Amino acid sequence: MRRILLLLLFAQFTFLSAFAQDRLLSGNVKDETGAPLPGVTVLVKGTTTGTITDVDGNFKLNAPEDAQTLVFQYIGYENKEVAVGTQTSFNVSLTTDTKQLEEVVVTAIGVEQKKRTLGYALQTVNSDELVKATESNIVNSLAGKVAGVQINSSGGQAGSSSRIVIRGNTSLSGTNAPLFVIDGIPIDNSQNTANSGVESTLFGGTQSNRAIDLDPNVIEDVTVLKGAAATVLYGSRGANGVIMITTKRGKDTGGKPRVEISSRYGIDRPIVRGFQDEFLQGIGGNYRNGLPAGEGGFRSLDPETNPTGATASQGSTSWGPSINNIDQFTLDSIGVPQIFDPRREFYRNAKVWENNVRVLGGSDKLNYLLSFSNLEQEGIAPGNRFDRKNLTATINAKLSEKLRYTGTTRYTNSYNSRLTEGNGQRSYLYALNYWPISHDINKYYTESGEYYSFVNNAFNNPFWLAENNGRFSRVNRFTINQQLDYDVLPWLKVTNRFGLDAYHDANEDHVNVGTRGTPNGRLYTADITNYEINNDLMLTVDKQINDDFAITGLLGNNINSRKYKNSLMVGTNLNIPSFFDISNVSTVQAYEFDQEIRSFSLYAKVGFEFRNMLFLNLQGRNDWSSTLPVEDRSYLYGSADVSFVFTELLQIDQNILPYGKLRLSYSQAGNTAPAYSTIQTFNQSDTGDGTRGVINIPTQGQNAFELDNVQTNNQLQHELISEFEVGADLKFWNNRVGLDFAYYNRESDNQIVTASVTPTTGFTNRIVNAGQIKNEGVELTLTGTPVDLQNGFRWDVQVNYARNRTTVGKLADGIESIFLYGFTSPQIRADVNNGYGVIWGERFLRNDKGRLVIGNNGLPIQDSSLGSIGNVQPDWTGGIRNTFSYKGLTLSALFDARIGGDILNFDLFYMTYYGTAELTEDRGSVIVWDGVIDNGDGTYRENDIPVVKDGAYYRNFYSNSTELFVEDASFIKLRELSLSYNLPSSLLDRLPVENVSFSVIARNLFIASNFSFWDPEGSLGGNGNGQGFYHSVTPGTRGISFGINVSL
Amino acid sequence: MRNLRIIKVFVLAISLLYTTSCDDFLDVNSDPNNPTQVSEPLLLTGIIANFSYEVLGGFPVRVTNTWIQQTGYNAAFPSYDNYDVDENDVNNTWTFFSYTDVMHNCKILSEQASANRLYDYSGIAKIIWAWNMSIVTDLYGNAPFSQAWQPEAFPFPEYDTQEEIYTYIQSLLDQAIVDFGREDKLTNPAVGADDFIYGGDIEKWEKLAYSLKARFYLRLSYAPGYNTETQAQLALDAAAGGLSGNADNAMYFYLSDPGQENPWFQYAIDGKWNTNTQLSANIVDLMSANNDPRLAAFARGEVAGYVNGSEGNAGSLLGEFYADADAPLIWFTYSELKLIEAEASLIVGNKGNAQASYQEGLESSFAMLSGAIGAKLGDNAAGAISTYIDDNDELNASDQVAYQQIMTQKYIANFLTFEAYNDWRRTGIPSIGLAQNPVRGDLEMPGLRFPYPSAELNYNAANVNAQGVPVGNAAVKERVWWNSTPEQCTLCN
Repeated sequence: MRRILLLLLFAQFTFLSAFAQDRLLSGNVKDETGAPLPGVTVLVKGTTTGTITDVDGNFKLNAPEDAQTLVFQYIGYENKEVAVGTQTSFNVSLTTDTKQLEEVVVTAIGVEQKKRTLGYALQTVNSDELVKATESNIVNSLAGKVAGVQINSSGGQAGSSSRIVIRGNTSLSGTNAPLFVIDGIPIDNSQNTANSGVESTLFGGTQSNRAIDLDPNVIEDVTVLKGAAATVLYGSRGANGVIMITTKRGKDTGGKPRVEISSRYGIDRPIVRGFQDEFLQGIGGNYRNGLPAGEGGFRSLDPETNPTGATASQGSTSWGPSINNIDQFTLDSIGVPQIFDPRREFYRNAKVWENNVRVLGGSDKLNYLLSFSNLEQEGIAPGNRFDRKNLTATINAKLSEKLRYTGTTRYTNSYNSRLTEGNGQRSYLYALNYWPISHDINKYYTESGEYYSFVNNAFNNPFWLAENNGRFSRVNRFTINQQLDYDVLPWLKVTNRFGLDAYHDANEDHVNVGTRGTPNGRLYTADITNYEINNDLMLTVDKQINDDFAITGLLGNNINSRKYKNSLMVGTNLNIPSFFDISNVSTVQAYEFDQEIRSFSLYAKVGFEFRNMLFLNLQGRNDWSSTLPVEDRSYLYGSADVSFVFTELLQIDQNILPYGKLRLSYSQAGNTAPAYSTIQTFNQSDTGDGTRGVINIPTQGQNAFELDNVQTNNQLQHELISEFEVGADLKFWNNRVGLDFAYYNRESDNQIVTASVTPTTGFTNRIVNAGQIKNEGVELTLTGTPVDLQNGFRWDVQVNYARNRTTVGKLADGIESIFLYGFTSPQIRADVNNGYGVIWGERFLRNDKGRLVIGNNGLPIQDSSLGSIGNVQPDWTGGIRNTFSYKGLTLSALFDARIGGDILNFDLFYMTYYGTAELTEDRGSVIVWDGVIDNGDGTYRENDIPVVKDGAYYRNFYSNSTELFVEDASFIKLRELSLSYNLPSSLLDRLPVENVSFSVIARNLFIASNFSFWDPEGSLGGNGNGQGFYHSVTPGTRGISFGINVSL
Repeated sequence: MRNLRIIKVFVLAISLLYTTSCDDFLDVNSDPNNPTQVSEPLLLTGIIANFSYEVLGGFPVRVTNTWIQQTGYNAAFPSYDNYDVDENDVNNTWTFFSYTDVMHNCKILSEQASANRLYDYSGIAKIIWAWNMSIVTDLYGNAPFSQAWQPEAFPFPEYDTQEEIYTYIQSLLDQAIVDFGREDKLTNPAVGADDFIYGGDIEKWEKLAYSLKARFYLRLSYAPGYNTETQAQLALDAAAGGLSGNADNAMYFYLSDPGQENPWFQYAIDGKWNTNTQLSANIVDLMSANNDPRLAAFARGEVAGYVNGSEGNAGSLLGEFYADADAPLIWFTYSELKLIEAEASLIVGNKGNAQASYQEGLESSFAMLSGAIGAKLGDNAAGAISTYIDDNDELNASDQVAYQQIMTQKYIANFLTFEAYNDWRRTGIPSIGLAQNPVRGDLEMPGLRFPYPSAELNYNAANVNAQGVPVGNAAVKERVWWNSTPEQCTLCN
């Protein structure tokens, strides 16, 4: 422990600056191999006067006249003292300190521990890597950087949510999201929508996950706790893993404030493909121009009976003629129709501008950091933007020799303006994806000023939607940490850490008068408040018993209380168009959604160390949870892990295997029930036809209630997750190559499942302890430095690889699958026979050999029942980062891969119908389906019936076959390509700046995928469990940004 | 020693915290959003609102009305107009509308109200329960009833036969009538504003119960093993206690406020969904051949018919009387009851009564629509109505022709109701051909039933599979039990 403190102390000296000025000393510091060492602290012994070396290892220092000795300090190297004498120039070489090369990590509950003592895997991503992602959502910046962490962005709108899952899906129907913890306190990462509880995300899309409120500029590093052994002290909420975020702190700068400024400007473009660019609007090969009658409406059908070409019936589909084959009647009447690229016309170059100013400094008694960030991000869709302002203030104070105080206050103000996505006419993608290439998307008013779309009343013009409709979220959020540490004895410490995370989200959904599908307009206005109070009171023990033995211990108590409230008003029929206030509606429906969850916990941890070689940790926690039945609300669980640093025993040649560790752990973790699962209630009636028809309750002055369709369960028990993990951490060839391997086998039992039941029981669902889900996988992280030259050129590589297999062991009695997301067909579900994330829908009939059965019309026959048509789980995920550095220049490339797994492209389903999909470009060609024809006597013959792929084929057959829209979700992305340059100190000498660096970062520059729309990251359900449902979500983006960092 | 003391204090503090306040601290799991107890009036309103919007004005009627070609669904085929109905399409009707929203709550209300001796409430609950169950069995055939709504005892309810279900339905209606007459009943709260049908007039509910009994007796007139005359006589006996005038008509009056509008208006007129539901060419031809003035009330604007299943010309949207925002939704009319009596009287050989009831049924249908017809035809309305009645109010001397007259008038009088579909299945009158472009090549007549819903196939598989009905769309050509012996209807041919 003392050693750790020492290391921290060293770190604080890193940015010392000189202020006493008598003698100018200068020099150069190198490592054993002769490579320059930047960042070495050079101190005049016995004073706080010092400096650090620049990227070339050079330093200059104004030392007092009486300076006797210089001390050179650098983490991982032995301190070196050099007598000054009369010398003014110093060439110093530092040697590696194998004893000090001790990685210290932050583990659960904020406990700092030497990495070698851990019997489980964790992985840390540092601030530099996070910032390089140039993502406004912290979740996205982790993509490809941690083995076993799968990230899926829900879409390309600015401010969109992202799903993060660690080691697969642990819960069948509950959340699979990890817990986010910032400086030791848990924070909310929900995905809130104004209309949650009233309208499905299927018909509007989602909003952001609230981790987007975090400011990446103040994050020091992110540690991912993966397995149950790592998270057991976080209890139930850590059951899906923990994302532990440590923020930047003040530093001892000898009193002088240090100012750090960073600025970034970028441009994003949509990633779009998959549209045909040959066939015009029309029906049956005949052209229609989509204009209203009387406004130049024209169609080429049947010139005999329709000599003027103008009729009311236009048709919205792109089954018109090829641009190369337009009939004479059309040419004579209106000439060659103009061709557009509607997608290109609509999407824009989106600008991102992010600025951050930090002031930090302090003394050994008190240090501080103040940070302000401003992000202004446009989306590629007009009207979409995400703005965020972050203010962070943090103070560390040594109140006495024994008492220390840490306080951080973070304030976030974020604004997200989104376009409606999802299924239905209000979705801007509904028209954009089906927009014919021969119709001008920029014209949506008639000459008389009337709004029209390419077919009146059927679709909305996306520009019009962007101008008139939208979903708005305004968040004000405070996150506060207050921590006191008291050293009772050198080996005994008491800590109290209080955390508050509170936000208000003013969330609105505007639908203006005239919107097709909601002609009279609508307004949702929601006040969402969420707060979480968390307190940990802990005793920690760290005692070296003798030379061989040490004991660490922790005893703690946690109190947690979370309260969510959404007061929603739904106004129907706007009286004054474009005026969105609840006073301006004909009827108001009001809803309230409240939820309160509390827990009380005791936890303990004991660690035994033997000769810095063998480590045993025992951890346990007992939770009392408010959401379980009173008699079963208490549950105890724990873990044991062993770490064995075998290189301490074997004394292998340092050049070959300087460090080797084996890990083993077994753990159990309890998980609790969702709120209000135990007492049966009635709901206010929601009378409606399940789609768009509705009778608002109260009706005719009367309120109405009906029994909840979900049957609660007053016998619920906690869930139990058991995990076995084994791993190794090896370092080869003078630490130039590192390998971390983990295998885990995790079983979640007694899962609390909201199982579908036959509605004839009177309920559609029942909450039961029934499910079992298993995850088994391997994780591999390889780090290495293939090239490290004397001249300063260096090549670093990091590879992450993970493979996870999820099996659904069992569900409730008699139930083989449960619904996760979607429509009746298609949908995403968990299924005993097919696993988790099954794409379920209409499929083709197959014979017992698995061949398609073809009908007499030459087309595959639809199976009469729904079934599995795909699975969204990938085979493996991985990332490779290559970093090349030479003096101040760094080039880094991160490839991110997700291989295997399916995605349901439900847009393609509609686009095939409307004839805008690229795959319909082969229209007119002939296909013979690979399948067999039933002879009627149990035998089959090979199909030989040719079918013409005409409009009827695509519209009536193809677009009715969900199975044809399941695509390969694999991708490889060049997620980040960055080039940065640190100005050498020689250039900065005469400037009042300490450090200047420039960077150019490209995001998603390259994507390889088989997905029709190119980028298969996208999910209508946002960060929910129903992944792989791609439908009317904004395409992903690629971008380039330019950044500058200056330290004063 | 000092350390030990600190540890002691620490442990003591935590244990104090726990023992004194932990249980209180954790007792926050009662749902603040939703009540655990609900009074009878609040339940009744929910049941009536759901049953009317979701069932009587909802999907079952939208679909089957196109099958009997009162309406058509003018959209790219295949749609339900071309009989493209599968286990998923019919899932909501079974799952949400019937078994949970309506019938489970009817059961709860009937039990709760009985326990509180509020028998008017339990009686109404039983009527709607019986009615909804009849719609379920008429659409799907055999269905769970005796084991339904008992999740602990019967997590996988077995199916009762349609025959059994009809005895349960009659029994529920009998119980409702008994409930209304119970001397020990309490009437505080009394049924009142929470009853959107009769405003708390229990006498009318009792008449409705008798009317439904009559309808359901006649439903089995040609069922296997049932005697047609017996069923007709039972229907006549029940009808004697039924509705006694248009003032007794059961109707749900919707309002023009947003979110309070008539279901047909929302579905087919206001553009929230689409305007594909249009008057069928079949009913237009049938009525215009006879100069039936009611056609003007059935249509919005100019009368035009859409040929079912075609890609042809558009038909009229539904008329204002039926599909304005504040139009009533028809539950049960006096006119239907009179035509039930007419049919039953004819079956039992009492032509005189048949004639009287027929005439009353015809006149009451016109009485209900006279305002709407007047709004369309203006000064010509009265003349057109009286001409039509004069021309059509006499039953033909031939019983077969007379039967055709009664059933055709009933088909018209029951415009936009589910009952019109049942009568067509039962008697084949009027004769309805296949829509164009039927989704199945093996269909010989319009859809005869719904397939079983996906919820049952997924979550009650063993029991639903035991019914022997083909899965999915193939089911639509299978007859339900009471409709399985059409040759029994000697009057129909």
